[in-house]
Amino acid sequence: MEIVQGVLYGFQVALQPINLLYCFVGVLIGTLVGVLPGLGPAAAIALLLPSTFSASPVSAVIMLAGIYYGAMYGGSTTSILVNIPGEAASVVTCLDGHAMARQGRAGAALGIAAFGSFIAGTLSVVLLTFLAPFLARVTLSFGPPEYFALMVLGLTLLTYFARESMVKALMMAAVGLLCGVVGQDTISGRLRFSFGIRTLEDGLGLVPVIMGLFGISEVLLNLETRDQDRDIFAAPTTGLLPTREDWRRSALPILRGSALGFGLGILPGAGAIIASFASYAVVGMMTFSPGRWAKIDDRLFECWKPCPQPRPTIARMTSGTLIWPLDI
Amino acid sequence: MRRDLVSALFWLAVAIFAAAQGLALKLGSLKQPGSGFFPFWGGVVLGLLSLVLVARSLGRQSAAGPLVRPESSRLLVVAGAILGYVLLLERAGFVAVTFAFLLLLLRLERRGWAFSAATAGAGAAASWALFQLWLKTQLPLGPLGF
Repeated sequence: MEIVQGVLYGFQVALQPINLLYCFVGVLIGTLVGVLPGLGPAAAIALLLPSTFSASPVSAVIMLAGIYYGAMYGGSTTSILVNIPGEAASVVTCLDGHAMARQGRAGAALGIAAFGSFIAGTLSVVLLTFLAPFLARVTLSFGPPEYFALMVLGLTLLTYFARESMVKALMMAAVGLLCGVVGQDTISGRLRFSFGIRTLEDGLGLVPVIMGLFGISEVLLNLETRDQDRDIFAAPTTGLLPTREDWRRSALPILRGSALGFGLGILPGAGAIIASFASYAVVGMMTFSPGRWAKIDDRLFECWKPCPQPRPTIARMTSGTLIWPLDI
Repeated sequence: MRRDLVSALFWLAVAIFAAAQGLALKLGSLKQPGSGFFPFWGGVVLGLLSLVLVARSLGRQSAAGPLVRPESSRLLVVAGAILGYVLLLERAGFVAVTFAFLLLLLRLERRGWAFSAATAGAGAAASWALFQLWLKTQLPLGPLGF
């Protein structure tokens, strides 16, 4: 009963017109900033934090939440249209979203990304509201062995993503692991592979690495192809609303992805990246469609959506991975 | 596949370097891994996989394509320009380096001088305005103060 009372009180505060306005403004500028390549939700919140100083604390938190979701969605826009992920969790959106855009279905991809995000996000919040006390206990009992198992799971998923050569995929996994050790050793404090460069002492950031991997490789690939062979999207981006057929196909994947993303997304630290890749892999395996593009559509319906949702709330409660609401 | 062979040899060199660095950093034991544990074993795994790729690419020698295509020179120029961008950014300032970089990219795309200069100028100025003025990020300043 206490929870229901809390929820109702929350609605009473959140649905005040001024708070809705703050939410709208937050989502709008969050999306605008999130579209800039390389600026993910965390960076967008850090940059836009001063803009909330004049608001009351509650409105400021609502606006920051809006900025967070706006930036998250903005990241998927660049992933789909230009194959440059705005932040780590939208890498999987690149894989199929950009492929859809190349097929002239950018509008559908953008619409699906928005709706999938909304549905899975809402489901996650509802689940979180009622399961939070229990989940907090579960999350706290996650220790090093469990995280190790999760990392092994993440690496194992690679075998699913390997599209051409398994040897090359495993090689790149090893390269990724080596990139991960650049910087200060967290246990002994010794520097590894920093070559006296101060920037490297902090380690390699995930966002710059994926930006370079996707963005710069896209530029270089374009340079390598001859001008006449290059494909440019001339088709207008239309058809943002999914059709009834789209909904029918996507209902189950969205539910499956929500459950999986919710389960993995609440873990502090591991969060969105593993959740998004795991959802993508599982849905890819469970979706049986005759045509390749149909299959890709289905996967996209959910891939990264659910995971970002639980992260800010639970992480705040358990590990402080994302502590922005406490900063205010 | 000659290209596979070249890249496999490159990663083999990286693997040897990583493993050597790992050895120098102390391996520790399995129960108490030292700082060099991960680089060393990561290097060993990468090296073994590279050797597999070397063996495979040697076995498929017949399918060799040209290693360097005519377009590759542009690629090298751009890769060099990106490196130059990183090295010069702190010294020459964001606006100047971004302008030069965009100008080079547009010229490589065989656009006219006037169009390239105007677009590069507009791009550099717009990103400066966006990040410096609106979002108040601290971009590196050049000798001229921007």
